[in-house]
Amino acid sequence: MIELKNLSKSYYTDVLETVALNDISLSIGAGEFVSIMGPSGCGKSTLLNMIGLLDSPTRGHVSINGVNLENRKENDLAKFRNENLGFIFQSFHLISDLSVIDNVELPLLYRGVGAKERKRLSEEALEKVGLLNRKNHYPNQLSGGQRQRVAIARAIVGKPALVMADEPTGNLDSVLGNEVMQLLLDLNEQEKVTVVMVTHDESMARKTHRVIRLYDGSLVN
Amino acid sequence: MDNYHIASLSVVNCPSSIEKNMLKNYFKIAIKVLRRNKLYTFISLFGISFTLMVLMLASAVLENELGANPPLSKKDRILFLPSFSGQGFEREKVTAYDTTEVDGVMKIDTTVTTRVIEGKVASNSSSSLSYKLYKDKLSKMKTPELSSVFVDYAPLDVYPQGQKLTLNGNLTDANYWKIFDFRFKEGGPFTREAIDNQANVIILRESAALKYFGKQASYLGKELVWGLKGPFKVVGIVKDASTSNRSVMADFFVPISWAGESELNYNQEYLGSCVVALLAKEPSDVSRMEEELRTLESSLEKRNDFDRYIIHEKNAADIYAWQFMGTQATREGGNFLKIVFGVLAFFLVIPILNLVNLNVTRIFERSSEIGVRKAFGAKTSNLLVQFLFENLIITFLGGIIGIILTVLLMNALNHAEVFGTSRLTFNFPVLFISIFITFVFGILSGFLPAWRISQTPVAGALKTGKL
Repeated sequence: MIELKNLSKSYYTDVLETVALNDISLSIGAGEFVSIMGPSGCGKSTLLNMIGLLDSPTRGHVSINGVNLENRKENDLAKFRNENLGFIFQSFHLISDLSVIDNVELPLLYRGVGAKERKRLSEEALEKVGLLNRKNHYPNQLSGGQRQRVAIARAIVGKPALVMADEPTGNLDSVLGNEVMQLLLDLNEQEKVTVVMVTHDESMARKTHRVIRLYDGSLVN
Repeated sequence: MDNYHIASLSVVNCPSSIEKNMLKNYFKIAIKVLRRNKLYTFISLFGISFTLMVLMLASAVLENELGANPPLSKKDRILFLPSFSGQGFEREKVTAYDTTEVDGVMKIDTTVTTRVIEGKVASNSSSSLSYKLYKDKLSKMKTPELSSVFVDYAPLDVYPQGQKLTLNGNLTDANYWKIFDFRFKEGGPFTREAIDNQANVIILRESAALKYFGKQASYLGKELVWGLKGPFKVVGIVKDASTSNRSVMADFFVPISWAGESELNYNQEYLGSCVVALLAKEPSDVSRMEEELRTLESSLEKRNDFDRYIIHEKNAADIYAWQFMGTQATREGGNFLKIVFGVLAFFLVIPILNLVNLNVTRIFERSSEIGVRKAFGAKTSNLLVQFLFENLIITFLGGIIGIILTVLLMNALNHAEVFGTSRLTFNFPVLFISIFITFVFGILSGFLPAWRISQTPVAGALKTGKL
């Protein structure tokens, strides 16, 4: 499903080149649940951003579902992300000025789904994460675990084939973290959604199908 | 199992519906943002509403003065002839020498001639036009549809209830009322017969009638005493005009036959104290009237050592600009408007830059929201529209406050008679201009911040800012 070939990412200043990713090649199959691990600053989030088309590589190729996504215009990538990808972030990134249901329906809004259908799908997604009763609350009225569940609902509301999760349990205690992890596992097992997750937590990583380890921007076998 | 692919979302709406859905979302956010940071909202609204108030007031003054409003609804077809010049050119004596033989003796023959130096003006006499010039020449012009002669702004001291009151009046002919579409509150214009018979009839401006008679249910038939000329019967009351154009801005109107001969015609044939208004059939015919005026002035019989006569014509904008710039011989309406709009544009630029600065700071606090929106599929245009829309909402709120402030200020200025006896009105064109200015202000002050934020790289935006 995901093919990375000789992927590199460098950041440049006037005098310095910082290599964040160095010649990464890997493939992730459809329906896999893969975790990416490594020490801080090793390039985990950068790799996730490349796979999620949130950043462009300096060199190399990314293809998803056989679609080569090299040199695509930003608007084309936005459309592709909207239709195929879902994102979960460590710090939730919910829009505080929007209610829970308005946050969840955001991907559908950019897809042009009508109001009624948006409501139905958003409620369905919220029900899956057990927060339908909180749909009219605002993010600051929820606990951390609830916020992350809302973020999961937002990630899956558009029924994407691939969900990218950047340390989804990083800001949660072990109980809430396990709850969130279980949701992702259910999503993967029951809905056959491919999940790529960055984590620092070995116990969470062990629950996934495969662990990809990074060190100084390179894959560790 | 749900089908986790795009085809499962069957309801996809048309673009207009998408925009409607998004605008609703943007509106929710905009209101929340305004309520969240009350100090920012207050500073923005204060700046916007005060700026717009000044611009709206300036627009209202210009529209009231120069717009096609009664009694100058036909202003685009009207040429005013407020003045006339007679010019004498410099002369030089040319002496020619020749020799001739007289009785076998050679003598010098001297011939002295006077040569006119064309175009070098030595003397100039200017005044308003004579009634005779109008009657003999201007009234016979072919290109105007109508012409009118009148004496404008004749001051008159009257004494209602023993108190001195100075009124300014126009002495008019019958065509005057056809060219200038005054709104009559009561009665109507005086007739040609009333003019021919020098009838004691008068038309008063609403505010002048109030000053002279006090508040009355009707002023028709009441009498205004004009010194030795006696009482004049009120036959009409016209509504106050919003222009300061002296041709129509009078407190009272009486038949031109009440003007004395010495007033109508000075000794120099073409000079007097009359103003002429020419009405073209179409606005495009105005230039033809001007051409005919050039032909007419060159055909005037030269008198009193004058070598050239000039009839100075002006349109409504030239007349207004004449108060501030130019001379009777120049037409500065176009230049005046350019200067005014230049000053207004400059006045608009400074608060726009301030608001841009405020907006840039404000918007970049929301960069992670931008990141989230982009991650979930927002295109550059979506974000551009969102932030422009948000800016338009606050600008229009400021616009509404600005309109309220403008109306209040107009009432205060009218009450204090800051613009003399002309009345500022917030009419439909002023409202339209105000909405337009507000829209332009909103777009200009919102575009740059919106454009910059819409270009933010998504990964970078997600790392910074708060939600």
